[in-house]
Amino acid sequence: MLSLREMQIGFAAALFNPSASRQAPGIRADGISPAVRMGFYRTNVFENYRKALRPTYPAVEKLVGGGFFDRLAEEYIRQYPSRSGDVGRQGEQFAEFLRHHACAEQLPYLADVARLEWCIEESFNEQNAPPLPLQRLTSVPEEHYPQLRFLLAPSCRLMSSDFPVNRIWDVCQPTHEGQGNVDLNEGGVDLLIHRQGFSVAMQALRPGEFTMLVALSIGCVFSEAYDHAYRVDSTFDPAEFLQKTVQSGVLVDFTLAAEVHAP
Amino acid sequence: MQALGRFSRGRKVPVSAGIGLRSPHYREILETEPDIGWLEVHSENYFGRGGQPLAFLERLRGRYPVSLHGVGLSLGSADGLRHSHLVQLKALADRLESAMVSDHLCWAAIGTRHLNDLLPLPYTEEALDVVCANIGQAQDFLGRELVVENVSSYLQFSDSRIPEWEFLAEVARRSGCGLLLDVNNIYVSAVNHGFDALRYLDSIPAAAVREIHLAGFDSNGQCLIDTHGRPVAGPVWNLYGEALSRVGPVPTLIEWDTDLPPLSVLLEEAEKAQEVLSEWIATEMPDALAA
Repeated sequence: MLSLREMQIGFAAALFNPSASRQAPGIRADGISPAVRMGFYRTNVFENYRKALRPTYPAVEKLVGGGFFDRLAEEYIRQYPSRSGDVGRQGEQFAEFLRHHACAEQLPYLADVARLEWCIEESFNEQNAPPLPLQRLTSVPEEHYPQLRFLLAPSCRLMSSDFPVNRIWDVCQPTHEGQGNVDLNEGGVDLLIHRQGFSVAMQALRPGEFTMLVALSIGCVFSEAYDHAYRVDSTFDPAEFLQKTVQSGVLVDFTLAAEVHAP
Repeated sequence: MQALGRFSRGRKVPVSAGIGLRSPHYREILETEPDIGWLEVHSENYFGRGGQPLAFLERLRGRYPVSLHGVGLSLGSADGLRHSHLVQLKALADRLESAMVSDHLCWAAIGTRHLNDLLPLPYTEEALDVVCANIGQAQDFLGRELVVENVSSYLQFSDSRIPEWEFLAEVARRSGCGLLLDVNNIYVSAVNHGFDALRYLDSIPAAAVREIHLAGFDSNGQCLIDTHGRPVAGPVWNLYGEALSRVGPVPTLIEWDTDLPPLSVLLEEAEKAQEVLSEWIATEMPDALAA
Protein backbone atom coordinates (compact mmCIF):
# COMPACT_ATOMS: atom_id res chain seq x y z
CA MET A 1 0.00 0.00 0.00
CA LEU A 2 1.34 3.44 -0.99
CA SER A 3 1.68 6.11 1.64
CA LEU A 4 -0.54 9.15 1.07
CA ARG A 5 2.56 11.18 0.28
CA GLU A 6 3.78 8.68 -2.32
CA MET A 7 0.34 8.59 -3.91
CA GLN A 8 0.17 12.40 -4.12
CA ILE A 9 3.65 12.73 -5.63
CA GLY A 10 2.85 10.03 -8.20
CA PHE A 11 -0.54 11.56 -8.98
CA ALA A 12 0.95 15.03 -9.55
CA ALA A 13 3.61 13.56 -11.87
CA ALA A 14 1.03 11.60 -13.86
CA LEU A 15 -1.18 14.67 -14.23
CA PHE A 16 1.57 16.54 -16.05
CA ASN A 17 3.02 13.60 -17.91
CA PRO A 18 0.45 11.51 -19.81
CA SER A 19 2.99 8.76 -20.47
CA ALA A 20 3.33 8.32 -16.69
CA SER A 21 -0.44 7.75 -16.41
CA ARG A 22 0.07 4.00 -16.72
CA GLN A 23 1.88 4.15 -13.43
CA ALA A 24 -0.85 6.37 -11.96
CA PRO A 25 -0.86 5.30 -8.35
CA GLY A 26 -3.37 2.66 -7.27
CA ILE A 27 -6.38 3.79 -9.31
CA ARG A 28 -9.22 1.30 -9.74
CA ALA A 29 -10.32 0.65 -13.31
CA ASP A 30 -14.04 -0.06 -12.73
CA GLY A 31 -14.76 -0.15 -16.46
CA ILE A 32 -12.66 2.87 -17.42
CA SER A 33 -8.87 2.57 -17.53
CA PRO A 34 -6.90 4.44 -14.86
CA ALA A 35 -5.09 6.38 -17.61
CA VAL A 36 -8.42 7.62 -18.99
CA ARG A 37 -9.58 8.55 -15.49
CA MET A 38 -6.37 10.52 -14.94
CA GLY A 39 -7.17 12.23 -18.25
CA PHE A 40 -10.44 13.57 -16.81
CA TYR A 41 -8.45 15.33 -14.09
CA ARG A 42 -5.76 16.46 -16.55
CA THR A 43 -8.48 18.10 -18.66
CA ASN A 44 -9.91 19.88 -15.62
CA VAL A 45 -6.55 21.04 -14.29
CA PHE A 46 -5.34 22.49 -17.61
CA GLU A 47 -8.74 24.09 -18.17
CA ASN A 48 -8.55 25.73 -14.71
CA TYR A 49 -5.14 27.18 -15.49
CA ARG A 50 -6.09 28.40 -18.98
CA LYS A 51 -9.17 30.06 -17.51
CA ALA A 52 -7.01 31.82 -14.94
CA LEU A 53 -4.40 32.97 -17.48
CA ARG A 54 -6.68 34.18 -20.27
CA PRO A 55 -8.37 37.15 -18.53
CA THR A 56 -5.00 38.36 -17.20
CA TYR A 57 -3.32 38.42 -20.63
CA PRO A 58 -5.87 39.67 -23.19
CA ALA A 59 -3.30 41.74 -25.12
CA VAL A 60 -0.92 38.77 -25.37
CA GLU A 61 -3.82 36.67 -26.66
CA LYS A 62 -4.78 39.34 -29.17
CA LEU A 63 -1.19 39.47 -30.46
CA VAL A 64 -0.75 35.71 -30.91
CA GLY A 65 -4.35 34.56 -31.51
CA GLY A 66 -6.51 32.28 -29.35
CA GLY A 67 -5.20 28.97 -30.69
CA PHE A 68 -1.53 29.82 -30.22
CA PHE A 69 -2.32 31.35 -26.81
CA ASP A 70 -3.73 27.98 -25.73
CA ARG A 71 -0.54 26.24 -26.89
CA LEU A 72 1.61 28.76 -25.03
CA ALA A 73 -0.56 28.36 -21.93
CA GLU A 74 -0.20 24.59 -22.02
CA GLU A 75 3.60 24.79 -22.33
CA TYR A 76 3.74 27.39 -19.57
CA ILE A 77 1.61 25.29 -17.22
CA ARG A 78 3.95 22.32 -17.73
CA GLN A 79 7.14 24.35 -17.25
CA TYR A 80 6.11 26.64 -14.40
CA PRO A 81 4.25 24.72 -11.69
CA SER A 82 1.79 26.72 -9.62
CA ARG A 83 3.01 27.36 -6.09
CA SER A 84 -0.10 29.01 -4.67
CA GLY A 85 -3.55 27.85 -3.65
CA ASP A 86 -4.80 31.03 -5.27
CA VAL A 87 -4.99 30.11 -8.94
CA GLY A 88 -4.94 33.83 -9.74
CA ARG A 89 -1.19 33.89 -8.90
CA GLN A 90 -0.43 31.18 -11.42
CA GLY A 91 0.32 33.64 -14.24
CA GLU A 92 3.06 35.43 -12.34
CA GLN A 93 5.92 34.00 -14.41
CA PHE A 94 4.23 34.08 -17.81
CA ALA A 95 6.40 37.00 -18.98
CA GLU A 96 9.52 35.11 -17.89
CA PHE A 97 8.34 32.07 -19.84
CA LEU A 98 7.65 34.13 -22.98
CA ARG A 99 11.07 35.77 -22.80
CA HIS A 100 12.70 32.37 -23.23
CA HIS A 101 10.18 30.95 -25.70
CA ALA A 102 11.03 30.43 -29.36
CA CYS A 103 8.28 32.89 -30.35
CA ALA A 104 10.36 35.71 -28.80
CA GLU A 105 12.42 35.74 -31.98
CA GLN A 106 9.47 36.94 -34.06
CA LEU A 107 7.71 38.82 -31.26
CA PRO A 108 10.51 40.25 -29.13
CA TYR A 109 8.11 42.62 -27.34
CA LEU A 110 5.62 39.88 -26.31
CA ALA A 111 7.26 39.23 -22.93
CA ASP A 112 7.10 42.93 -22.07
CA VAL A 113 3.41 43.09 -23.00
CA ALA A 114 2.89 40.18 -20.59
CA ARG A 115 4.94 41.96 -17.92
CA LEU A 116 2.75 45.04 -18.35
CA GLU A 117 -0.43 42.97 -18.07
CA TRP A 118 0.82 41.32 -14.88
CA CYS A 119 1.58 44.79 -13.43
CA ILE A 120 -1.99 45.82 -14.29
CA GLU A 121 -3.38 42.66 -12.67
CA GLU A 122 -1.39 43.23 -9.47
CA SER A 123 -2.20 46.92 -9.33
CA PHE A 124 -5.92 46.18 -9.73
CA ASN A 125 -5.95 44.06 -6.57
CA GLU A 126 -3.48 45.96 -4.42
CA GLN A 127 -4.15 47.59 -1.10
CA ASN A 128 -5.93 50.96 -1.12
CA ALA A 129 -4.05 53.95 0.29
CA PRO A 130 -5.54 57.33 1.17
CA PRO A 131 -3.85 60.29 -0.55
CA LEU A 132 -1.22 62.32 1.28
CA PRO A 133 -2.67 65.67 2.41
CA LEU A 134 -0.56 68.37 0.74
CA GLN A 135 -0.56 70.53 3.90
CA ARG A 136 1.23 67.74 5.79
CA LEU A 137 4.05 68.15 3.33
CA THR A 138 4.02 71.94 3.28
CA SER A 139 4.27 72.01 7.08
CA VAL A 140 7.69 70.32 6.90
CA PRO A 141 10.56 72.87 7.18
CA GLU A 142 12.28 73.20 3.82
CA GLU A 143 15.69 72.22 5.17
CA HIS A 144 14.31 68.76 6.04
CA TYR A 145 13.15 68.00 2.50
CA PRO A 146 16.40 66.34 1.41
CA GLN A 147 15.99 63.80 4.22
CA LEU A 148 12.37 62.86 3.51
CA ARG A 149 11.73 59.24 2.70
CA PHE A 150 8.60 58.84 0.56
CA LEU A 151 6.30 55.88 0.22
CA LEU A 152 4.69 54.97 -3.11
CA ALA A 153 1.06 53.81 -3.19
CA PRO A 154 0.95 49.98 -2.96
CA SER A 155 -0.76 49.84 -6.37
CA CYS A 156 2.21 51.51 -8.15
CA ARG A 157 4.30 49.41 -10.49
CA LEU A 158 7.28 50.73 -12.46
CA MET A 159 8.46 49.07 -15.62
CA SER A 160 10.91 49.87 -18.34
CA SER A 161 10.78 48.37 -21.82
CA ASP A 162 12.95 48.57 -24.93
CA PHE A 163 9.71 48.64 -26.96
CA PRO A 164 6.76 51.06 -27.10
CA VAL A 165 4.88 48.51 -25.04
CA ASN A 166 2.17 50.95 -23.92
CA ARG A 167 1.29 51.72 -27.54
CA ILE A 168 1.26 48.00 -28.40
CA TRP A 169 -1.06 47.40 -25.44
CA ASP A 170 -3.28 50.27 -26.60
CA VAL A 171 -3.89 48.88 -30.06
CA CYS A 172 -4.80 45.50 -28.54
CA GLN A 173 -7.68 46.98 -26.54
CA PRO A 174 -11.18 46.14 -27.76
CA THR A 175 -12.01 49.86 -27.57
CA HIS A 176 -9.09 50.86 -29.81
CA GLU A 177 -10.07 52.71 -32.97
CA GLY A 178 -7.94 53.71 -35.88
CA GLN A 179 -4.58 52.44 -36.98
CA GLY A 180 -3.58 49.04 -35.66
CA ASN A 181 0.15 49.35 -36.33
CA VAL A 182 2.90 50.41 -33.98
CA ASP A 183 6.34 51.33 -35.26
CA LEU A 184 8.81 49.39 -33.13
CA ASN A 185 11.43 52.01 -34.02
CA GLU A 186 9.56 54.47 -31.80
CA GLY A 187 11.84 53.08 -29.12
CA GLY A 188 11.40 52.09 -25.52
CA VAL A 189 9.32 53.51 -22.73
CA ASP A 190 9.38 53.95 -18.94
CA LEU A 191 5.97 53.31 -17.41
CA LEU A 192 4.18 53.97 -14.17
CA ILE A 193 1.19 51.70 -13.63
CA HIS A 194 -1.05 52.99 -10.87
CA ARG A 195 -4.63 52.46 -9.72
CA GLN A 196 -6.83 55.50 -9.29
CA GLY A 197 -10.16 54.59 -7.75
CA PHE A 198 -10.90 51.18 -9.22
CA SER A 199 -9.23 51.75 -12.58
CA VAL A 200 -5.64 51.03 -13.38
CA ALA A 201 -3.97 53.70 -15.49
CA MET A 202 -0.56 53.72 -17.10
CA GLN A 203 1.56 56.72 -17.80
CA ALA A 204 4.73 57.10 -19.84
CA LEU A 205 7.27 59.01 -17.72
CA ARG A 206 10.22 61.21 -18.60
CA PRO A 207 13.56 59.60 -17.66
CA GLY A 208 14.06 61.92 -14.66
CA GLU A 209 10.61 61.19 -13.18
CA PHE A 210 11.01 57.47 -13.71
CA THR A 211 14.46 57.36 -12.14
CA MET A 212 13.21 59.46 -9.21
CA LEU A 213 10.30 57.09 -8.56
CA VAL A 214 12.47 53.99 -8.85
CA ALA A 215 14.95 55.49 -6.38
CA LEU A 216 12.19 56.45 -3.92
CA SER A 217 10.57 53.03 -4.27
CA ILE A 218 13.78 51.31 -3.14
CA GLY A 219 14.06 53.57 -0.09
CA CYS A 220 16.36 56.41 -1.16
CA VAL A 221 15.78 59.68 0.68
CA PHE A 222 14.66 62.61 -1.46
CA SER A 223 18.15 64.12 -1.99
CA GLU A 224 19.67 60.76 -3.01
CA ALA A 225 16.80 60.10 -5.39
CA TYR A 226 17.19 63.57 -6.86
CA ASP A 227 20.91 62.92 -7.47
CA HIS A 228 19.98 59.84 -9.52
CA ALA A 229 17.28 61.72 -11.42
CA TYR A 230 19.57 64.68 -12.15
CA ARG A 231 22.16 62.35 -13.65
CA VAL A 232 19.70 61.17 -16.33
CA ASP A 233 17.95 64.52 -16.79
CA SER A 234 19.61 67.79 -15.77
CA THR A 235 16.34 69.70 -16.38
CA PHE A 236 14.41 67.54 -13.90
CA ASP A 237 12.34 69.72 -11.57
CA PRO A 238 11.92 68.10 -8.12
CA ALA A 239 9.32 70.61 -6.88
CA GLU A 240 7.06 70.01 -9.87
CA PHE A 241 7.60 66.27 -9.48
CA LEU A 242 6.56 66.35 -5.82
CA GLN A 243 3.42 68.34 -6.43
CA LYS A 244 2.35 66.13 -9.32
CA THR A 245 2.99 62.78 -7.64
CA VAL A 246 1.38 63.77 -4.34
CA GLN A 247 -1.70 65.19 -6.07
CA SER A 248 -2.15 62.11 -8.23
CA GLY A 249 -1.85 59.78 -5.22
CA VAL A 250 1.43 58.17 -6.36
CA LEU A 251 3.27 59.24 -3.20
CA VAL A 252 1.05 58.53 -0.22
CA ASP A 253 3.24 58.95 2.85
CA PHE A 254 6.64 60.12 4.07
CA THR A 255 8.88 59.92 7.10
CA LEU A 256 11.89 61.96 8.16
CA ALA A 257 15.10 59.98 7.88
CA ALA A 258 16.63 59.20 11.29
CA GLU A 259 19.49 61.74 11.29
CA VAL A 260 17.01 64.64 11.21
CA HIS A 261 15.81 63.63 14.67
CA ALA A 262 19.35 63.44 16.04
CA PRO A 263 20.12 66.18 18.60
CA MET B 1 -12.85 19.56 19.80
CA GLN B 2 -16.10 21.44 20.21
CA ALA B 3 -15.87 24.44 17.93
CA LEU B 4 -19.42 25.75 18.06
CA GLY B 5 -18.75 28.11 20.93
CA ARG B 6 -16.23 30.02 18.84
CA PHE B 7 -18.64 30.37 15.95
CA SER B 8 -20.50 33.47 16.91
CA ARG B 9 -19.06 36.51 15.18
CA GLY B 10 -20.51 38.30 12.18
CA ARG B 11 -23.91 37.67 10.74
CA LYS B 12 -25.03 34.09 10.60
CA VAL B 13 -26.00 32.45 7.35
CA PRO B 14 -29.81 32.22 7.46
CA VAL B 15 -31.70 29.00 6.78
CA SER B 16 -32.68 30.11 3.31
CA ALA B 17 -31.47 29.97 -0.27
CA GLY B 18 -28.36 31.89 -1.32
CA ILE B 19 -26.32 32.22 -4.49
CA GLY B 20 -22.65 32.11 -5.35
CA LEU B 21 -21.51 35.66 -6.09
CA ARG B 22 -19.51 36.01 -9.33
CA SER B 23 -17.92 39.24 -10.55
CA PRO B 24 -20.15 39.80 -13.65
CA HIS B 25 -23.11 40.11 -11.25
CA TYR B 26 -21.57 42.58 -8.74
CA ARG B 27 -23.20 45.72 -10.06
CA GLU B 28 -26.61 44.26 -10.72
CA ILE B 29 -26.83 42.84 -7.20
CA LEU B 30 -25.72 46.14 -5.67
CA GLU B 31 -28.21 48.11 -7.76
CA THR B 32 -31.23 45.81 -7.53
CA GLU B 33 -30.64 44.25 -4.07
CA PRO B 34 -32.49 41.04 -4.98
CA ASP B 35 -34.41 39.27 -2.25
CA ILE B 36 -31.90 36.55 -1.51
CA GLY B 37 -30.87 35.21 1.89
CA TRP B 38 -27.09 35.29 1.59
CA LEU B 39 -24.09 35.18 -0.71
CA GLU B 40 -21.10 32.90 -0.99
CA VAL B 41 -17.79 33.76 -2.65
CA HIS B 42 -14.61 31.87 -3.49
CA SER B 43 -12.19 32.99 -0.79
CA GLU B 44 -9.11 33.01 -3.03
CA ASN B 45 -10.71 35.49 -5.46
CA TYR B 46 -10.43 38.07 -2.66
CA PHE B 47 -6.87 37.39 -1.55
CA GLY B 48 -5.87 40.70 -3.16
CA ARG B 49 -5.47 43.40 -0.54
CA GLY B 50 -7.75 46.04 -2.05
CA GLY B 51 -9.31 47.38 -5.20
CA GLN B 52 -12.67 46.80 -6.76
CA PRO B 53 -13.42 43.13 -5.91
CA LEU B 54 -12.95 43.65 -2.17
CA ALA B 55 -14.72 47.02 -2.22
CA PHE B 56 -17.79 45.50 -3.86
CA LEU B 57 -17.76 42.57 -1.48
CA GLU B 58 -17.48 44.88 1.52
CA ARG B 59 -20.49 46.85 0.28
CA LEU B 60 -22.47 43.68 -0.37
CA ARG B 61 -21.77 42.22 3.05
CA GLY B 62 -23.54 45.21 4.55
CA ARG B 63 -26.67 43.96 2.82
CA TYR B 64 -26.19 40.17 2.85
CA PRO B 65 -24.43 37.68 5.12
CA VAL B 66 -21.38 36.39 3.23
CA SER B 67 -19.87 32.92 3.43
CA LEU B 68 -16.27 32.28 2.35
CA HIS B 69 -15.88 29.11 0.30
CA GLY B 70 -12.29 28.14 -0.46
CA VAL B 71 -10.81 25.84 -3.07
CA GLY B 72 -7.13 26.07 -2.13
CA LEU B 73 -6.53 24.96 1.47
CA SER B 74 -5.76 21.39 0.39
CA LEU B 75 -6.99 19.77 3.59
CA GLY B 76 -5.79 16.36 2.40
CA SER B 77 -2.13 17.23 1.73
CA ALA B 78 0.15 14.59 3.23
CA ASP B 79 2.71 17.31 4.03
CA GLY B 80 0.34 19.62 5.89
CA LEU B 81 -1.23 23.00 5.19
CA ARG B 82 0.46 25.99 3.54
CA HIS B 83 0.91 28.60 6.24
CA SER B 84 0.74 31.58 3.85
CA HIS B 85 -2.64 30.40 2.59
CA LEU B 86 -3.98 30.18 6.14
CA VAL B 87 -2.67 33.69 6.88
CA GLN B 88 -4.45 35.15 3.85
CA LEU B 89 -7.66 33.26 4.60
CA LYS B 90 -7.72 34.41 8.21
CA ALA B 91 -7.08 38.03 7.22
CA LEU B 92 -10.00 37.89 4.80
CA ALA B 93 -12.37 36.09 7.17
CA ASP B 94 -11.60 38.59 9.93
CA ARG B 95 -11.87 41.59 7.63
CA LEU B 96 -15.27 40.49 6.31
CA GLU B 97 -16.45 38.97 9.63
CA SER B 98 -17.45 36.10 7.40
CA ALA B 99 -20.54 34.19 8.48
CA MET B 100 -18.97 30.87 7.52
CA VAL B 101 -15.64 29.54 6.22
CA SER B 102 -15.58 26.36 4.18
CA ASP B 103 -13.28 24.28 1.95
CA HIS B 104 -13.22 20.77 0.50
CA LEU B 105 -12.49 17.20 1.51
CA CYS B 106 -9.76 16.75 -1.07
CA TRP B 107 -6.10 17.43 -1.72
CA ALA B 108 -4.54 19.91 -4.15
CA ALA B 109 -0.90 20.42 -3.18
CA ILE B 110 2.19 18.35 -2.50
CA GLY B 111 5.69 19.65 -1.89
CA THR B 112 6.05 23.08 -3.45
CA ARG B 113 3.57 22.28 -6.20
CA HIS B 114 -0.07 23.31 -6.15
CA LEU B 115 -2.42 21.63 -8.60
CA ASN B 116 -5.33 24.02 -8.01
CA ASP B 117 -7.99 21.33 -8.38
CA LEU B 118 -10.18 19.31 -6.02
CA LEU B 119 -8.38 15.96 -6.18
CA PRO B 120 -9.76 12.80 -4.59
CA LEU B 121 -8.31 11.13 -1.53
CA PRO B 122 -7.89 7.44 -0.82
CA TYR B 123 -10.21 6.71 2.08
CA THR B 124 -7.73 5.11 4.47
CA GLU B 125 -6.90 5.43 8.17
CA GLU B 126 -3.75 7.36 7.20
CA ALA B 127 -5.74 9.86 5.11
CA LEU B 128 -8.25 10.22 7.94
CA ASP B 129 -5.46 11.11 10.37
CA VAL B 130 -3.94 13.59 7.90
CA VAL B 131 -7.24 15.31 7.10
CA CYS B 132 -8.27 15.57 10.77
CA ALA B 133 -4.86 16.97 11.76
CA ASN B 134 -5.00 19.54 8.96
CA ILE B 135 -8.56 20.58 9.81
CA GLY B 136 -7.55 20.87 13.46
CA GLN B 137 -4.63 23.11 12.51
CA ALA B 138 -6.86 25.27 10.28
CA GLN B 139 -9.54 25.63 12.97
CA ASP B 140 -6.97 26.55 15.61
CA PHE B 141 -5.33 29.10 13.34
CA LEU B 142 -8.58 30.63 12.10
CA GLY B 143 -10.05 30.55 15.60
CA ARG B 144 -13.32 29.28 14.25
CA GLU B 145 -15.13 26.26 12.91
CA LEU B 146 -14.19 25.13 9.42
CA VAL B 147 -16.95 23.65 7.27
CA VAL B 148 -15.87 20.82 4.97
CA GLU B 149 -17.51 19.82 1.69
CA ASN B 150 -17.63 16.45 -0.08
CA VAL B 151 -16.31 16.64 -3.68
CA SER B 152 -17.29 14.95 -6.93
CA SER B 153 -14.82 12.32 -8.05
CA TYR B 154 -13.97 10.55 -11.28
CA LEU B 155 -11.82 7.78 -9.86
CA GLN B 156 -11.38 5.64 -6.75
CA PHE B 157 -8.21 4.29 -5.20
CA SER B 158 -7.66 0.58 -4.73
CA ASP B 159 -6.27 1.34 -1.25
CA SER B 160 -9.56 2.90 -0.08
CA ARG B 161 -10.96 0.88 2.81
CA ILE B 162 -13.62 3.22 4.14
CA PRO B 163 -16.75 4.28 2.21
CA GLU B 164 -16.68 8.02 1.52
CA TRP B 165 -19.80 8.66 3.62
CA GLU B 166 -18.26 6.97 6.66
CA PHE B 167 -15.00 8.83 6.09
CA LEU B 168 -16.83 12.18 5.96
CA ALA B 169 -18.85 11.41 9.09
CA GLU B 170 -15.71 10.36 10.94
CA VAL B 171 -13.87 13.55 9.87
CA ALA B 172 -16.68 15.62 11.38
CA ARG B 173 -16.75 13.53 14.57
CA ARG B 174 -13.00 13.58 15.16
CA SER B 175 -12.14 17.13 14.09
CA GLY B 176 -15.30 18.90 15.22
CA CYS B 177 -15.64 20.56 11.81
CA GLY B 178 -18.98 21.38 10.24
CA LEU B 179 -20.13 19.72 7.04
CA LEU B 180 -21.16 21.24 3.76
CA LEU B 181 -23.23 18.63 1.99
CA ASP B 182 -22.95 19.05 -1.76
CA VAL B 183 -25.97 17.11 -2.97
CA ASN B 184 -24.92 17.44 -6.62
CA ASN B 185 -21.50 15.99 -5.79
CA ILE B 186 -23.11 13.05 -3.99
CA TYR B 187 -25.26 12.41 -7.07
CA VAL B 188 -22.34 12.74 -9.52
CA SER B 189 -20.10 10.41 -7.52
CA ALA B 190 -22.95 7.95 -6.89
CA VAL B 191 -23.49 7.64 -10.66
CA ASN B 192 -19.76 7.54 -11.43
CA HIS B 193 -18.96 4.90 -8.82
CA GLY B 194 -22.28 3.08 -8.56
CA PHE B 195 -23.10 3.63 -4.90
CA ASP B 196 -26.46 4.39 -3.30
CA ALA B 197 -26.83 8.14 -2.72
CA LEU B 198 -29.51 7.57 -0.04
CA ARG B 199 -27.16 5.35 1.93
CA TYR B 200 -24.63 8.21 1.77
CA LEU B 201 -27.20 10.64 3.18
CA ASP B 202 -28.22 8.16 5.89
CA SER B 203 -24.67 8.18 7.26
CA ILE B 204 -24.30 11.94 7.58
CA PRO B 205 -24.45 13.27 11.17
CA ALA B 206 -27.31 15.79 10.83
CA ALA B 207 -26.10 18.00 13.67
CA ALA B 208 -22.81 18.71 11.86
CA VAL B 209 -24.39 19.90 8.59
CA ARG B 210 -24.16 23.69 8.19
CA GLU B 211 -24.97 24.10 4.51
CA ILE B 212 -26.10 22.35 1.34
CA HIS B 213 -24.79 23.04 -2.17
CA LEU B 214 -26.78 22.55 -5.35
CA ALA B 215 -25.29 22.86 -8.84
CA GLY B 216 -25.43 21.45 -12.35
CA PHE B 217 -23.21 18.77 -13.88
CA ASP B 218 -22.21 17.70 -17.39
CA SER B 219 -21.27 14.36 -18.91
CA ASN B 220 -18.14 13.67 -20.94
CA GLY B 221 -19.69 10.47 -22.28
CA GLN B 222 -17.99 8.24 -19.74
CA CYS B 223 -18.34 10.12 -16.48
CA LEU B 224 -20.49 12.83 -14.97
CA ILE B 225 -18.35 15.93 -14.40
CA ASP B 226 -19.08 18.56 -11.77
CA THR B 227 -18.91 21.64 -14.03
CA HIS B 228 -21.29 24.04 -12.22
CA GLY B 229 -22.34 25.15 -15.69
CA ARG B 230 -26.01 24.13 -15.90
CA PRO B 231 -29.27 24.23 -13.95
CA VAL B 232 -29.65 21.77 -11.08
CA ALA B 233 -30.75 18.40 -12.56
CA GLY B 234 -34.09 16.74 -11.70
CA PRO B 235 -32.57 13.81 -9.77
CA VAL B 236 -30.47 16.27 -7.74
CA TRP B 237 -33.62 18.20 -6.75
CA ASN B 238 -35.11 14.88 -5.59
CA LEU B 239 -31.98 14.10 -3.63
CA TYR B 240 -32.13 17.58 -2.07
CA GLY B 241 -35.58 16.71 -0.69
CA GLU B 242 -34.16 13.47 0.71
CA ALA B 243 -31.26 15.39 2.28
CA LEU B 244 -33.62 17.85 3.99
CA SER B 245 -35.68 15.01 5.44
CA ARG B 246 -32.49 13.63 7.02
CA VAL B 247 -30.54 16.70 8.13
CA GLY B 248 -33.38 19.19 8.53
CA PRO B 249 -33.51 22.68 7.02
CA VAL B 250 -30.08 24.26 6.40
CA PRO B 251 -28.81 27.20 4.33
CA THR B 252 -28.81 26.12 0.68
CA LEU B 253 -26.62 27.55 -2.06
CA ILE B 254 -26.96 27.61 -5.84
CA GLU B 255 -23.46 27.40 -7.35
CA TRP B 256 -22.77 28.36 -10.95
CA ASP B 257 -19.22 28.88 -12.24
CA THR B 258 -18.86 28.08 -15.94
CA ASP B 259 -21.06 29.53 -18.71
CA LEU B 260 -22.42 31.95 -16.14
CA PRO B 261 -26.03 32.88 -17.03
CA PRO B 262 -27.79 36.20 -16.30
CA LEU B 263 -28.38 36.84 -12.61
CA SER B 264 -32.12 36.25 -13.12
CA VAL B 265 -31.45 32.57 -13.93
CA LEU B 266 -29.49 32.11 -10.70
CA LEU B 267 -32.24 33.84 -8.75
CA GLU B 268 -34.86 31.53 -10.31
CA GLU B 269 -32.83 28.49 -9.25
CA ALA B 270 -32.50 29.93 -5.75
CA GLU B 271 -36.25 30.55 -5.67
CA LYS B 272 -36.83 26.89 -6.50
CA ALA B 273 -34.54 25.87 -3.64
CA GLN B 274 -36.32 28.33 -1.35
CA GLU B 275 -39.70 26.79 -2.27
CA VAL B 276 -38.50 23.28 -1.45
CA LEU B 277 -37.00 24.53 1.80
CA SER B 278 -40.10 26.52 2.82
CA GLU B 279 -42.43 23.69 1.93
CA TRP B 280 -40.35 21.26 3.96
CA ILE B 281 -40.40 23.57 6.98
CA ALA B 282 -44.18 24.15 6.61
CA THR B 283 -44.86 20.42 6.45
CA GLU B 284 -42.35 19.06 8.92
CA MET B 285 -41.94 21.93 11.37
CA PRO B 286 -45.28 23.82 11.44
CA ASP B 287 -44.53 24.90 15.02
CA ALA B 288 -41.35 26.62 13.89
CA LEU B 289 -43.36 28.68 11.41
CA ALA B 290 -45.99 29.59 14.01
CA ALA B 291 -43.25 30.71 16.36
